[in-house]
Amino acid sequence: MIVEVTRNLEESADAVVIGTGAGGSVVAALLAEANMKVAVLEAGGYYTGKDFNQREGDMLAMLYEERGARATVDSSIAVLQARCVGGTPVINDCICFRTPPEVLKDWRDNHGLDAFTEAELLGHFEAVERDQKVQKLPQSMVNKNDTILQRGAKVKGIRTDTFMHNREGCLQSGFCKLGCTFDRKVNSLTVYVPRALQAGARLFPFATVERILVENGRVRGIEAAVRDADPRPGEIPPPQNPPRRLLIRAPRVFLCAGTINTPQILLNSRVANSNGRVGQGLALHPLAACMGVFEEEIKGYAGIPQCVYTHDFTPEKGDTEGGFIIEGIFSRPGLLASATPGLGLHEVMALYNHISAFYAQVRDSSRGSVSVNRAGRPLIEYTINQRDWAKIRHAHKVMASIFLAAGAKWVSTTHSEQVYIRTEKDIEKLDRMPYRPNSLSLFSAHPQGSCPMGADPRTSVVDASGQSHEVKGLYLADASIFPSPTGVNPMITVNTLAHRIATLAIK
Amino acid sequence: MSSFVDERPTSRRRFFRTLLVVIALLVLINLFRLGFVSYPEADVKLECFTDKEYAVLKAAADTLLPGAADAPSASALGVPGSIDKFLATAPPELGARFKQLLMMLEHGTTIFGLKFRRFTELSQGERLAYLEKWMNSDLSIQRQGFMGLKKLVATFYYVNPRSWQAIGYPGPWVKQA
Repeated sequence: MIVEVTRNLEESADAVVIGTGAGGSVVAALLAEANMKVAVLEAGGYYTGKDFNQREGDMLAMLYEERGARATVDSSIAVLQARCVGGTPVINDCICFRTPPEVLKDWRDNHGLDAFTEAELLGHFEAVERDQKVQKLPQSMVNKNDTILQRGAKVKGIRTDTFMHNREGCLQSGFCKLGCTFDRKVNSLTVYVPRALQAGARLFPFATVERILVENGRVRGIEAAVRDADPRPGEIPPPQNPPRRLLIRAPRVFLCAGTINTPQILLNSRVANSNGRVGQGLALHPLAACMGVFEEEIKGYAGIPQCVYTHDFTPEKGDTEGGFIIEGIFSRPGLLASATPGLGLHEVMALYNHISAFYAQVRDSSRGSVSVNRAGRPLIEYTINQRDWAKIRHAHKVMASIFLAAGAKWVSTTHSEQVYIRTEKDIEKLDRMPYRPNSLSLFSAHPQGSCPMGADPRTSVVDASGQSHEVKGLYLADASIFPSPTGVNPMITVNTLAHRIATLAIK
Repeated sequence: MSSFVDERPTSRRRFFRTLLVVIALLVLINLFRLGFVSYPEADVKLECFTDKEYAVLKAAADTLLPGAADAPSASALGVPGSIDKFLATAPPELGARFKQLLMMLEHGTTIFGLKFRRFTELSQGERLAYLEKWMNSDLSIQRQGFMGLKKLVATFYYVNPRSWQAIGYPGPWVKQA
């Protein structure tokens, strides 16, 4: 049931799950179905298709962390994450990749996670893919923007493929990043949270966990503040009641608040951090975009926003030729305008229907951190190293050549100082462009690894079962525990780790 | 460089001291050239900004989006007011940083642009050139300021349905109730 907290409340449970995204929703469903009494807390509200009005202004405020304004401390990378029941899958583009074998090998070889073989994880991968009806996106559903990627890549001899995705009966309205109005995403919001509720879990929306309670090395529960529901779009905010205190005693706590908020909660609670690793090792998977302007109409917003990716620049190619994948991407006018190059916003946006866009997702070697300020709010610090800037520059060159091969009139990166690339020769201009913070727009949609998992308690926060090395009964099950970045969209990896962690905890 | 530091520490210190005095003087000139300038009362009810901050933001937003053939200007679309409302409910650090940025924009014209008028007193062309300097500056704080300003202004302009006709965006499938 969904619990409305109108006064201070104390209760007990077998387990508390903090967060309802790709990790928390899976854990909550599995524990509740194992007949455990489960309390589930979510900082955002519980919304479904009928609430998603497809308007960026309303949905960024309603569904995104910090109303869409979350960013690194120096504002150089916008960090897009959700704050609502269902978490980031509510606002993602349904891209499903299994954890790449070379990443699992890195986890085994360099982090002592011997159990993380493809064979060991296979059952968990299959379960979450089955639950979310993961299937290959058919060519008939590829939108015009991504046919440009296919067309140009083919000319350049670069292999592409369509994504595996978790939609059923998709109407191709293209508003995935603003929540699916038609509830056609098969994910945390539409599968796992309903399963948890059906099995008796108690869900507390608008509940912010302030402290994890620990005594004698064992977790004892959580303290949270529950606020009034956020006003709906267009609603005049009514006077707010003071937050209510919520105390839940439980022998197990599963912290699944995401890569930024999970370390925030641990740091505010001052637990599980005697080795100082909480918040360290943050990877952001920087997303570096490029746009091509075409004579023909693209209308990139029409149809599924992300359909196609390239194979040929994977990490095993090394730093100079690999370490990123290129994906088709498009967005509604607000987000796109925020990343347009140059000062002539009117002029560039007048071409909106003729713009095609891709981004490169970089498997970064740069590492940052999450800390908290005096008010306990998270601070994201992250500086891109020279290796990763080189990858971004290389990826821009590859994307530019794909656009030109597909027939673009001109190509531009997201540099503030606009560069016009009209011929292959012009691509050399990128060698003279500044690659430094705030000279170009960068995004992150996949922060990972701020509380790494590993065998060694001196260098990691949780063990291979997701349990804290130093607090019994405290588990982490979200992207914060990745020992190194996946290099691919991480939802299925999070689902899978959460499935494994919950399964082991039930045993 | 190391020999410079080792052999001439006093000169180096003197240089920085002089630089600080010059900067302080330039800031003072900018602040007091016209005495305490009064700013027009905002045309919306403000929740976060002062009238002065609102006036600076309005000037900056209209520099980036002055209006085109069938596109209204940023202020005609209510962008400064939307940003005021947004920052009133965003994490307070964000609002505080943005207010600092607006004051730097307004009073940094002497240091960063060699103008003896405040940002709000510059012509449209001068403002554009000034913002371009921020955009391409080697000082990361200026690039950060420009990027923050542009992202907020651009986003709040183009999430507004009244901006869509000019770019040919048909809008949501779901019609507003």
